[in-house]
Amino acid sequence: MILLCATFFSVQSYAGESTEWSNAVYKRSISGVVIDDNGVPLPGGSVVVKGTTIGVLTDINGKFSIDVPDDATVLVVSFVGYLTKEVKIGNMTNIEVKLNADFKSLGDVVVVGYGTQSRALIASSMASVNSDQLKDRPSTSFTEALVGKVAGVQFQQTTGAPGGGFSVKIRGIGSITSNSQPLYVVDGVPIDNVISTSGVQFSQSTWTTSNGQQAQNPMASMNPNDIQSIDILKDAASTAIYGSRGSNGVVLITTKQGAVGKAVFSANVSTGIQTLDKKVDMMNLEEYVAMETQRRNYQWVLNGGNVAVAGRSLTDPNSVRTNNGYKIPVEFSDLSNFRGTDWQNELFQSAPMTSAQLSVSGGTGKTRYYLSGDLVNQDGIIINSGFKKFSLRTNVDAEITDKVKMGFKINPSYNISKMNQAGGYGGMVQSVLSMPPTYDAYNVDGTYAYYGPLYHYGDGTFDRNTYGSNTGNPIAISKVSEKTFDQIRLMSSAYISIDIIKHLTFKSSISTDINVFSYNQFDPSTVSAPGIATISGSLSSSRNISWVNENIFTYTNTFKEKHNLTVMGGVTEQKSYFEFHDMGANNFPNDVVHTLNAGMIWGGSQTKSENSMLSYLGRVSYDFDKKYLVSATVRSDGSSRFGSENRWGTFPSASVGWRVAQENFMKNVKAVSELKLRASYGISGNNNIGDYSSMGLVGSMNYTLGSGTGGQVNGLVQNSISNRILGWEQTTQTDIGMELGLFKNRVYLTADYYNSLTDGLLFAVPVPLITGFESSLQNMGSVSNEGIELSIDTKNVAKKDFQWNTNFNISFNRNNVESMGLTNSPITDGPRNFFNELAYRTEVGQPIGSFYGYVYEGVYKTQAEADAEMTVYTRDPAGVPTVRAMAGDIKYKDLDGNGIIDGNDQTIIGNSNPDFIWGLTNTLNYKGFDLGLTLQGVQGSTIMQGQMRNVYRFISGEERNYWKSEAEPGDGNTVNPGGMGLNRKVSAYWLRDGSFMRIKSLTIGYSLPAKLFGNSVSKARAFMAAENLFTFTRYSLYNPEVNSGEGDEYNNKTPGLDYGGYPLARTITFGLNVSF
Amino acid sequence: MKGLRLFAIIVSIALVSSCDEFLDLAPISSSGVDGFYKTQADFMQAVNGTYADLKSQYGYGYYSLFTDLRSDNTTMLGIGGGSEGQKIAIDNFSIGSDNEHLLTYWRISYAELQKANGVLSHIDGADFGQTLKDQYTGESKVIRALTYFNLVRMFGGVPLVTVGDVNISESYNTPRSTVDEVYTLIVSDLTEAIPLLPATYGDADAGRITKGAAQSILGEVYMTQHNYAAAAAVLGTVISDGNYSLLSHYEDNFTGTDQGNSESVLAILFQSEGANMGSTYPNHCAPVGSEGVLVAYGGAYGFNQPTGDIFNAYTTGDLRRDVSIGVGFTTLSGSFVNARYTKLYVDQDPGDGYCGSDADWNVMRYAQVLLMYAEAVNEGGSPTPAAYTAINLVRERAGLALLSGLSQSDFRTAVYLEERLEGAFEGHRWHDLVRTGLAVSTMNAKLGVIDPVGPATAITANQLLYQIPDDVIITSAPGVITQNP
Repeated sequence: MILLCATFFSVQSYAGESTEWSNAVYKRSISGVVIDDNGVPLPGGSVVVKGTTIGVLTDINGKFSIDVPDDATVLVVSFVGYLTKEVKIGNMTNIEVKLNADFKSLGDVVVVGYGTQSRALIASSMASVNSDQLKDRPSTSFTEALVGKVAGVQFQQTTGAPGGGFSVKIRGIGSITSNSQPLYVVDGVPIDNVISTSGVQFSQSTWTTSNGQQAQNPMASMNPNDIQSIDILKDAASTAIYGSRGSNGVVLITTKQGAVGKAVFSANVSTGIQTLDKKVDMMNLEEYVAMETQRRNYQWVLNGGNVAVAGRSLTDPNSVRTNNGYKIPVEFSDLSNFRGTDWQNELFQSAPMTSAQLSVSGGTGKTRYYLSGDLVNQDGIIINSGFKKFSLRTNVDAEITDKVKMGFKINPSYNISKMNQAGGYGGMVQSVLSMPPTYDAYNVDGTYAYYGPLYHYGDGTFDRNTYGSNTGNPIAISKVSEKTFDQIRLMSSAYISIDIIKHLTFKSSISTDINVFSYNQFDPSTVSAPGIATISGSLSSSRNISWVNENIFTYTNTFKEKHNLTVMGGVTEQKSYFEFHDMGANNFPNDVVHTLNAGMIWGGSQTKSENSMLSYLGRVSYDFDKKYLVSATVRSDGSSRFGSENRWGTFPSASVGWRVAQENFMKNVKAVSELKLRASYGISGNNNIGDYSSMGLVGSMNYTLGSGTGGQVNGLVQNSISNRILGWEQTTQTDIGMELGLFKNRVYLTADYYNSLTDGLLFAVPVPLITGFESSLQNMGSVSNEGIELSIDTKNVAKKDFQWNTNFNISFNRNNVESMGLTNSPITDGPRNFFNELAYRTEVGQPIGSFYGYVYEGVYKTQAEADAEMTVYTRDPAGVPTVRAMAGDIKYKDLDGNGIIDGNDQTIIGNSNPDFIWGLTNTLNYKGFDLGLTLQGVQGSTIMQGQMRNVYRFISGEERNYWKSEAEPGDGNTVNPGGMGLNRKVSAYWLRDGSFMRIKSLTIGYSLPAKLFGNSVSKARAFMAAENLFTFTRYSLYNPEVNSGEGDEYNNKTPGLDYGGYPLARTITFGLNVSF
Repeated sequence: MKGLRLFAIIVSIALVSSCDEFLDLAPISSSGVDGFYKTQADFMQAVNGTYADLKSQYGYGYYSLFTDLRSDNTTMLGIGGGSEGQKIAIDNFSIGSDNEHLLTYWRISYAELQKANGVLSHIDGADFGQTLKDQYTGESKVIRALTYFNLVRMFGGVPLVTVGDVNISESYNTPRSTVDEVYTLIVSDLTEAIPLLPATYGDADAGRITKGAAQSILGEVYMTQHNYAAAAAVLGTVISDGNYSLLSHYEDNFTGTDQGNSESVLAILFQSEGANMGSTYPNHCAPVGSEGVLVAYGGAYGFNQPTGDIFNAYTTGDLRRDVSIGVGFTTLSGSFVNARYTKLYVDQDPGDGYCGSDADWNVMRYAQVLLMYAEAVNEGGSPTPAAYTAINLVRERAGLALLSGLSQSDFRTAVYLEERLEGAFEGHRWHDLVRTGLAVSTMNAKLGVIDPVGPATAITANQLLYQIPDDVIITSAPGVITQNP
């Protein structure tokens, strides 16, 4: 415990003499020591004379010395994580104060929207993670450190790209089209997450598709070491105060503050290595050659279609085959002709990462400060990818008079991501998984290979394929194509807080977030074969400037000692301004200069948009004797994004709680230290749509007219459909919870049941194409999420030298579409970024974005079996089958029994949602040693393995047992790679179990005894940390948490798709934490 | 302190009294549709945008997939898979209702109709000069008629949409109209457009739809309806009006830098200079492996390769064969690849990058007007001198002997061949085969001849229409859109 807390207090503790907080006149001096119930001194504890501001902090040895006024009678001694104690002074001059650990501290104050509250007095559902739980992780983003720690929140690391995006879903998906990521609020400032929610012309998906890279993590600029605490608001009663942006949950981040006292310096440095956590089993050279031979034979017979051509045979010699693509290369007969490239070895690498965080904090007189710097340098496990980050933070607070406080925070940061397109169509991961081992990455002379092997056909013909136009040599592209994405961000805020009259405070703040992104790409001539002029470059950049002004009145008072009342009310307004420009050039004369000035600019554009919001909000919290708790909030938001007729939305909520354990009749039940029953109900909203979404927009589309070569004439066309009645998406949520603390809270159980209904979904409804458009944004339909969350914290061992804590949490969520507009017609959609196939359906009675396709029943082992089924693909008008399945083709279920496999046989074949998710964290401290272990689990999720679309050239080991002939039908579940038929259709053949258990993190540390350094060093700890150490799963590709549609506007309708993605890295890091 | 209290109070009052003005934000980089369709400039730009959308319909290779690749004129030598496989399926008649190109064509056609309808729905209420109003109305009606003409020939009866702002809830329940209903709209649109359109434009507007273009398309519509008398009448007017004449050289119709020439009745215009104004069509036509050799930028997809059948159909001395068809290329690694390709398009100025080609798409040339006229007149009973004049103008330029003294039937055969060769690779062949009732017999007679990819088994009359794309059926209310047999 000491060690845990030592870290926590490293920024506040100091060595040497105590420092006074007050200039009162001293009459006498009292000294003493503060220890825990095991006799361990508590450094950094607070000792205050009751009813005054006179106080000191304890030193490194838990000792203090304080001068108190003559009339002082009581000292209040407190320490976070311990029960506060009041000590009568009497005539004592030397006091030993023993504090009892409070495993779920009643004094624990948590941040709620627009204020703070005692955790014990909150009747809504929220979770908190403090810096203690985030400490010493080498992660570059705090989100990674939250994985597995919070019930009801699904953190998905969908990409391993350095600086890459992270999916956070709080209590399921309540929105079909809109973004379902939570709102982030840093130090009270709602963050406009530009990359994920932005204007019409530019969205996260634009970045994703235009540069082919997974979404970036908008919170990557945050230094995890700056975070004091993270509070996650889950139910509507807590999120409704954020009104229109609360329905996906709210993540409140509080950064560190200095404490009055001597400056405390703290340094964390770490260095480590990342490796691919798992290599995919692929066919070897011999297996590939056998498969390719079969494929060519069948393609010859099937003539590229799905009907055997009369007179053709699998064994026809090359000389009669009409196209080289159908002939068998002579080289196949001797495998020593090939080097047998292991493409994964070429693409992946071991990559170093280093990080350093330095901070200094303290305070003098009435001013407190916290300064920090953060430096991260990380290479990616895919060649030519990486991430660098530099950030600074200054937090300053000052008491100007006894009634006025001011402060400011400034946080500039600069991130640079070196990118390599990992996912999606043409992505490197998909490329290496389908690149034959007969192809070389390099020629013998070490230059990049741009041509496949030279194939001779023994009949005088030969050919040499170039690497496909769309893919190319993935290694050459990876190494020579330059793609960098950088972000410059300046977040700053300033506030003034005035105690207007007793009990009434007014706080006004203004915050700005200036965010500049730019993306540069340069493809030199060496991207493709010599002679093919493809030198090109592009640049796109955006600026997002937003400001928020908040003005909040807070009234707090206690009446007749037992009636505690807090009333908060305020007005906020905010505006965001967005600008995007891009430019492209080609015809570069050579590869020397990589900036666009060297080429010929062929085009560019610029767009701007803005949005604004005006809000009125209020909250009343009341408790009687800290036993009966009532709270109500209301917020009214007006947003420029909605139609003039539905611009304003009102979001009320209420919660009630009863702390049963405080009742007299429970006093005798010693074992129960806390028993709280709570219930809440509220409405929150969602406005995560593009600017001007309610308006039909007209955009330019130019044409050429005029004689000769003609000239450009400007044209305008309507790009979208108007919807003047577009309004808020609203989520109504009921939460019933219970908290039970046993044995002085050594065992603390939290259980919640919730039921939410999201209505008026903001939905880009596919409309018949006869309208001229593909979709229209409408409010329609409703979705429910129902779930149970359980979390249990135990303090298994609490001895002086040995402490062992465990947290286990598990969450169950059921997502169900309740209605879909007036007709309840299902919506069938496709991952259009990846393939033009309708693979998802959203339908009443099913989860959002269920997989949609054919029912798969293995493959036909024999032609007789295929014929007997009478399963055909087409019939002529007389009903005679014209095209039918062949042996080795997939056997689809003929759902309507009409003897034809067609669109009527598609149905919902599964969904990606897990049955439950869980996390288990154990923390052990033994003397100087500490150990932390976090397991993360997902059970019952399903993945759509999109590579199966390339069934005829996908060469993973999973396909090894394919249908070879009637005599060798393989495992009965794997198609003939040479067959065509309907084998490429979306079906359950593509679905895989995505369940997994991951050793998310393992940390082992040792702290040197403080006395080794005398008083000069308060902490010195060395640690080893491992992230993503091992994943137990049956999924055969890289990451069972993959979601290739991440960041895609269709994301919520197309979840759980694996179409290539940046694999996760296993990271082993060594580091030091030092404070002095 | 009092000052600060005052400050707090003033700030709060100021904010509480903020009003909706703060929330009324107009788009910055685009305009809202509510303020559009008001001025003459608005309509000019809207009509230009309607033309621009024709580039999607014709220019990026979709149209020729369904009209050339489908026919005996071109084939595809790819080896299958992906989007390429879906093109092969069009070529070898294994295409189903799930074909992605079919869906794309449907989508871009209706996007085009929305634009034309947008102009037509609003122009009556606008206040500007009648001459331009007439011109914009005529242009929009012809584009609408042309788009429906293509749709009805591909799919049969399709849903008829005639307003720009389609009611969304009604759109789910809009069924297919009959073939006759679609043709009724096409004929009335063209007929109404003809008197509204000018016969010619000034240099700056060359390329806009003329009266002659409307008449020529109407002529083809009548031909398709087998109303030869009406066709001969309207096409004869185009000829007698004398606004068009053949260029001296066949290949000059494909230069892309001679827009508005005397032979061009209607062309979709591309420009190699300027962002996104060019065509990708040469990339689609260049044979696989010819990247960097035949096309300077981008890929070479070779989906529209001339068949041996058409190569052999040219008679000796026909000047058009060798300017239309290339026979192979030498790769960068030095080997010669035998691959026929449509040279007319591949040879176009590549501009400054992919999507940058100048290759225009001829919807209708005067040569087609002459040949259709000859065909229509001959169908009236016998080849008249006017019919001979018309066909011989085309033959003479091609370097072929002039025809004379043929029976009606022989003349018919001759004009069919001329239509095939003169209009080769310009998206006419499949429609001509279907129109003349020869599609099934012609394709089946060439089973196994059209090398190496074509129908594997005999085709039937059901395959003369394409299937309605699955997505169209699924998106509409159940049962509203019926599938073709």
